[in-house]
Parts: sequence; C-alpha cells; structure tokens
Amino acid sequence: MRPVRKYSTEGIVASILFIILIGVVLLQVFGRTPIFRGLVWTEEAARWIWVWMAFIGIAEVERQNGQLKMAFLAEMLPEGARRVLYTIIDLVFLGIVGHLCWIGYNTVLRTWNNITVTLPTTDALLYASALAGFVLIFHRIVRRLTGRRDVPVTREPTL
Amino acid sequence: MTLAIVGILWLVFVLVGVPIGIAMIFVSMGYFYYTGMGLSFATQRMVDGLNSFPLLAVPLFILAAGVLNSAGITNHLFGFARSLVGHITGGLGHVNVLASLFFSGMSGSALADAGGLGKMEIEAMREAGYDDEFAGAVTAASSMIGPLVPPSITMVLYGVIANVSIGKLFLGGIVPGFLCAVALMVMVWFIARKRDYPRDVRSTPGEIGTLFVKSLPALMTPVVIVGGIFSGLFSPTEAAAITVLYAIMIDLVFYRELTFRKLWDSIYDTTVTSASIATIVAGVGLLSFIMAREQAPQQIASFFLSIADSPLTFLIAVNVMIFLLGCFIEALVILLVVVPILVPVAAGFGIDPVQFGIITVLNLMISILTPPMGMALFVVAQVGGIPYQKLAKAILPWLIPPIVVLILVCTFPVLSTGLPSLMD
Repeated sequence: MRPVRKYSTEGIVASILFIILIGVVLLQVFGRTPIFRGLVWTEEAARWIWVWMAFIGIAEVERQNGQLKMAFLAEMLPEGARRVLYTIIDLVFLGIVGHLCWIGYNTVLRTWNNITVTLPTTDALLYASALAGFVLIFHRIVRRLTGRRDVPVTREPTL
Repeated sequence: MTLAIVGILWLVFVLVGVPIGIAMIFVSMGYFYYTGMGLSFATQRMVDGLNSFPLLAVPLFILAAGVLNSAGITNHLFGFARSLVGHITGGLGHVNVLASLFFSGMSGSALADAGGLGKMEIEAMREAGYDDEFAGAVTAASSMIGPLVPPSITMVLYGVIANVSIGKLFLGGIVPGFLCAVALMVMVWFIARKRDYPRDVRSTPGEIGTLFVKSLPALMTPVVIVGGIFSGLFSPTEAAAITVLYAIMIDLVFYRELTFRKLWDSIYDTTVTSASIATIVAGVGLLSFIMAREQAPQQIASFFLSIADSPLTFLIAVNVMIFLLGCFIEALVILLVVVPILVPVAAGFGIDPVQFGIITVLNLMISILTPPMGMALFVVAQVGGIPYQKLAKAILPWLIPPIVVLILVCTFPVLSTGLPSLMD
C-alpha cells in the first residue's frame, strides 16, 4: 500500500464548488440591499451546488477510503481474511453503484423537462449530480479492486 | 418483523466493516428488491435528502472551525482563559473548561474543540505537573460544551431532521452549555483540591486587559451569529457563511497567521468531511422511506406508551436508550437514524421540540465520552498521546457533571425553552 495523495481531481472540483457555494450564500445575505434587490435564485443555486459538491466529494472520500466505519469485527480478523472481506464488500458495493448509475441515468432522462423554480434549467441538472457522483465512485472502487489500494485515511465524524 | 431484520442486517454490515452510510444503502436496496418496489426512485430519494438549505450550515460551520483552528486563534483564547481563572485551585483544569466555552462560541463541533484546543491544553497541564489521565479527561469532558453553545452542527442536523427552528435550538443550548461548564469547573475544583494540583499566579488587570483585547475579535463570533439570527438579519445557514467570512477577516486584520495554503487545506478537508456526512444523510434518505413504510414511528410510539405514562418517564426511557446506544454506536448515526423516530413520539407526550432537541444533543455529547465508542476520547488520546484504555477509565467520573445537567434540563423545561421563547 502507498500513502494517499493529498489532492485529487474530484476533491479539487468539489472544493471549488464549496468556494462557489460560500460565495452564493454570502451573495444572498448581502443581496438583501437595494443594489442587488431581486436575487431570488441564490437559495436554489446554493442547494444544488451543495448536492453536486456532496456527490463529487463522496468520490474523493472513496478515493481516501475514508468513509465513517465501526469495523470492530473486521479489525479482529487476520490480515488476509480482512483483505478478502473488504474485497467482497467492494464487489457488492461496485454492483450496487453500477445499478445506481443506471437508475441515475434514467432519473436524469425522466426529469429532463421538469422546469425549476428560479434557475434557467431543468431538474435533470440536479439529478445529474448523483449520476456523476456514482460514475466517479464506480471508478474509484474499480481502482481499489485492481490493486491501486491506498492507505486508508482515518476520518472522525464531526459532531 | 421486517423492520427488525433491516435493523439487524444493517448492524451486521456495519460490524463487519461496511461504512455506515454505505450499509444503509445496502440494506435499503435489498429491501426494495425484496419487496418488489423497484429502485427507480432510489437516486431521487438520496438527492432529495441532501437538497436542503439548512443542511448547508453543516459544511459552513465545519469550515469556520477549521479556519479558526488554522489561524491559531485557540492560542489567544487559551491565554485569555488562563489569565482569568488560572489562579483558582485546579487552575489549568478551569482554564481548559473556560477555553472550551469560549471556543464553543465559534465552533459547532466537540471534536474540533478536542482536536484544536486539546493538544495545547494537555501539554500545558502536563508541564505544570497534572497527570495525563486528569488532563485528558477534563479536555474530553469540556469539549462536549461545543455543540451546546451556538453555533452547533449537531443542532443544525437535529433542526433539519426534526423540522425545528435552528435559531431557537441555538438559543436553547446556551443555558445548558453554561451549566455544563459550571458543573465541570466544580468537579475540577474538588479533584484539584484533593490532589493538590498547582495553580498560576494571579494575573494583573493590565495583563487580563491586554489578553482580552487580543481575544476580543474571536470572542465576538457568537455575538455575530446569535445576534444576526435573533435580529432576523440572517438565517442559520447564512450565519454560518458569515462566520466563515468573519473568521477569515479577523485573521487578516488581527491575527495574520492564516496562509493561503492553510485556508485551501481547510476548505479541502471540510469538503471531504462534509461529503462523508452526506453519504450518511443520503443513506438516511433511503432508510427513512422504509421506516415510514413499515410504520416505525407508530411501532416505537406504542412501545414507549407501554413503558412510559408521563413526559418525564418517557424522557428517562429515551435518555437511558440513547446513553446505552451511545456507548456502542456513533453519535451521528443515532442522531440521523434514531432521533427522527423519537421526535413525533416526544411531541405526542407534549414535550417541547426545542427542549427535546437540547436533551438529545446533550445526551449525544455524553455519548462521545462513553467508552468503548467515545469519539472525543479517541481524538484526545490521539492529540494528547495518552493511551486510550487509561483515558476510557479516567473519563468515568467526568460523566457525572453532564448527567446532572441532563437531569436538570429534563426536569426544568425552562432551562432550555426560556431563551427561545423570547423569539416568539
């Protein structure tokens, strides 16, 4: 195993989305002045950016193998058995994510003509975030299964 | 029966090493296959679970705490707290609690407090002659104040899942947060007197004044947040964005320790941490559908009605349940999976949702201190270089102060509902 690289394309894209998100929320606050009066799209835009940031960010979490776990039993297993167990989990996960990609694609098609409330687009753009996220996650699991396993990052929850 | 199978399967998946959020997706997909419902709505449910404006406050408050930690503001807060209470019996123990109280007004996370202040606090106490167990235990115990005093990531999540005003929750946590600080300081005093721990020389008013001026911009953060929400200037999510801006601004103007690289790293880490939480929220989006379909709230309600005949007995039962679950299950999971089922039941007993929220948050914060799954203990053991087993034993007496406060908040609703009622 090798140490995980600090940054990845998914992480950088998600972080840039986060910076845009902060800007949009601040615009919403300072937009309540006579200069910007009429900025009605900021809340919906902020929500959508967050959803995109989250799904692309989940791919980065997968790259870091940093999802929140409580693997008491797995940690008790010998190294070889643990590796087999994690491979089985990854294979099941791969199958489910593959299916979710297909569902995500169909959801995008289904919502193609749903007009949004304030943004000049359709709901398909929102649901495409899940499709994009699942494709990226799929890619990361395949990389993990094909031997490009990085050292997992320990991530504490945030409460 | 189906619900129990879903729950047991999820637990088995989690214990064999499937990540918590992913395990929720596994069992949900299995349920949809098994019941023949089809999966066409699965991604839609996950996206809709995340598509919430109040939820945006979570990454924003995490980032604010990250920026404040990176900017070294914790040093100033610690110095100011030391000048105020360092001379009392058990000096650095009180400093530890007071610094956590100050930091809690800027960060909404107990673990950010434990991680940010913890190393500095434990090293200072170690140098002064305090034993590691005491230093670690008081650091972990005081970190639980963080999510009680606004801002609070836990309260944001509770507000979203229970559909309760986050502004009211923020106000409702202030008195219990201060009570916890006082209760912990009383505990420090008794232990320090018994063990004859050292104390600092009393600071002069001039020294206190200088340190106060240095800390003032950071100390003003909760005033900006609560004042802004209370006056109607901005919503909790907007307050979170303002906090990020404020944290960057005060560093640029006063502290000047934040570099572009530190800021970028904070943003990057926050993005990944938030995505990790988002996985669980998306999983809950699926799981909550199953719970509604299997009438979980009704089943849980009838269970509680069979064992509780008054709001107080219901609260006792809930608190015991959350406390026991908290010893083994991550607080975030209890909050997102168990609490949504309990909220309507509490309402049925006539319990104010704000009071129930504060009780839940307080109990969840106790759960991050309870071994074997005490997340604050893991963080403190890591940053303080203290063996986990020693800390897990040392923390036990420190559970008494927050439990006493929990009992008070359950018994006297005004402690949590008094300040929020001013918003009506």
